[in-house]
Amino acid sequence: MRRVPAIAWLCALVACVNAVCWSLITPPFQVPDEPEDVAYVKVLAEAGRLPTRDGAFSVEEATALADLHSQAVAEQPENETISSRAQQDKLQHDLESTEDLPLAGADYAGVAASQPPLYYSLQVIPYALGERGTLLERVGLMRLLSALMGGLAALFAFLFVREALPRSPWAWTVGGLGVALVPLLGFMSGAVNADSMLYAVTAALFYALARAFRRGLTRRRALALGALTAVGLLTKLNFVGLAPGALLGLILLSVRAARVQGRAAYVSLALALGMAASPVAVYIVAHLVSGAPALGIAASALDVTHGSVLRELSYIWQLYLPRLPGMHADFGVLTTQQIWFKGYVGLYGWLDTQFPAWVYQLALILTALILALCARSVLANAAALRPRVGELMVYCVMCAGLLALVGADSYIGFPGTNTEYGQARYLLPMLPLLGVVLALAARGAGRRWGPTAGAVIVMLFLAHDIFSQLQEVARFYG
Amino acid sequence: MRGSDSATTVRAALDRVTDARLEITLGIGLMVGAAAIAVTLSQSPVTLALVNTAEHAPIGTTYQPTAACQSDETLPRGTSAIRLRVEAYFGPRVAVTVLARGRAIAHGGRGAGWSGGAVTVPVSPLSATRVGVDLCFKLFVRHGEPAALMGEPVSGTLAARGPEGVLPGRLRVEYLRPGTSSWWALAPAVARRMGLGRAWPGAWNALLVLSLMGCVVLVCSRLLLRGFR
Repeated sequence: MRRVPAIAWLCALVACVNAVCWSLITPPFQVPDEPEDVAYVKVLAEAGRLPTRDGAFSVEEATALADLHSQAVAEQPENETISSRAQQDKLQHDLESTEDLPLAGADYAGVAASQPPLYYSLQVIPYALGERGTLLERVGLMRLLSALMGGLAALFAFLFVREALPRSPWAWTVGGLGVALVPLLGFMSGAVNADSMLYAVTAALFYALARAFRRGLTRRRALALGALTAVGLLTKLNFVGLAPGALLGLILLSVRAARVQGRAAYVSLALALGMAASPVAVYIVAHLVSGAPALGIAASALDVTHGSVLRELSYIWQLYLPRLPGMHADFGVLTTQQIWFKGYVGLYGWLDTQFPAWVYQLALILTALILALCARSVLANAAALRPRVGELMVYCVMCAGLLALVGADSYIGFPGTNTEYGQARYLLPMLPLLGVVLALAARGAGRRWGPTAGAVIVMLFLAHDIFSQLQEVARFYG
Repeated sequence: MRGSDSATTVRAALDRVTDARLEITLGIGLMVGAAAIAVTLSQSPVTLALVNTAEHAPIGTTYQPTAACQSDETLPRGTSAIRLRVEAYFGPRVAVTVLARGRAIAHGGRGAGWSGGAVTVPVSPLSATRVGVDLCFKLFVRHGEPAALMGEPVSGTLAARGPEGVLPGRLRVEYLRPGTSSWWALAPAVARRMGLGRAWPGAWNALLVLSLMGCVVLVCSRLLLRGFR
């Protein structure tokens, strides 16, 4: 294995430190689903069992949420966080007086309860380290573990760019740093949320696939792909959307490797598939043995169909792309820009912290420039893409699977809520591809101006990150 | 041998040009960034000048284009934005007009795609407070995308009314204007507040963020200068 370059570690450091800053800026529980995710860890750590979907928060967490005015602050930008010493003292006193209270049946973790336990099991470590402190101290430590995962996401994104564009070493830095400075990555990795680990695992999967496509599928690489798929499935259900693409990648790689290795390649494939499917198999068997439905509580999260399939496909299409003739109108025309682009550029807190409208328009222009440079680079190197059609197809299937899953999940609440899962954070598992786009854009500026264009792109991302943090500071403490 | 030497010389010269360009780009970038931050912080945060009702109750959900006006509003002097309490996952385009004796004295709009429990519409500030004005809003709801109206459930003349009839209440409207202090002046207070409700309370949280982001800028600058070789 090639040594990981120092620059990759520095990109990881930048992403990790950035996420730590976000964790210090964002008030506790002001990130989507953080109260539920903290509750999950609490139940796991204190009771040693999985949480339930119904019920109420533990007294300790309910006290923290009440004293921090979390409910009043979330989604209501006129309400800011606590602002006086007296409120802080009350919070501290109440937390200290409730920290030893037993869970007393408060196994509630709401929407998080249907998620697999790996991320939460890892979070038990910082939770236990902060056992003697208040709940907020434990949340602070858990956020640091998430920040480390943000660093890993940037590290693997850098390595993915290196495998994808092996002949442009200088451009790897553009891709790696660009990903490390994505504000939404910092925001989500600065919180207790399983998304942070999902980003890291998915980036590792992209890297492992790119490596295998470039160097061939060995037994070790096949097992690594299988293990990463298993870890992904144990991290968050959203990974289910990426799994078909990973499976396709394994099959294509095995067919290709079989030309050289013969049947041994298919043995590697079988081992990898066995490893990838093992968590799901264990989960199903455990439920069947205990007399519960095969998919347990996860069934509710995976039950993503209602009504006609064509109607659902039409909805999913329109969630991302302009409506086609003959489709029933579920949205306006510009959902890509209005939901996903705006969400990516800046929608923090409980989706209540945003920039003035002109910022999104400016971002649109800059994004168009970056995409134009990227397209120029792709067109100039179109011949190099032909041998990599299979690899590109795998990435496309991974992305399409993720988009379809998010769309199908959103469709559950439709039409009562039209875009419940229309949040850009769900698309961040595709961050490694953004790294490649940025590196290609820098390369698209030509040999003479490429590094300069790369520097401008990185500085734009840095400015975006800093101003996003300032926006968050203004929202909660201004 | 001589050809190889000249190629090396040319390459070294190109590297020097690239390095010089990178240094200039980085220098300009950092200066522009610092200036943008300084200008941003010299502005004043938006503050709440007036709210038309203390109530925040549901007064209905609309699935179609909705237009209504509510009378007896007060538009405070210097109002730069009007915040309507409308909740949506995927907010529709919004237009707001303030009328005094039937004449528009302020108006603004916001495109579709906002999200959350309120939508803020920028308007041109007036030099004097105007009382007894009508506030009219239009929600360009399309394709049955729901938008929930929040405010005070009232009936009669106080309720908002539009071409379709009287709404079951009065929409909560908040009038926003820039405060009197700049962000620079407020920085110590903001730093103090950032330290409240924390795992480890104290204004040092803000200082730590500043220091860490300073390190991020330094590492990025170094990588840009060294990582492209």
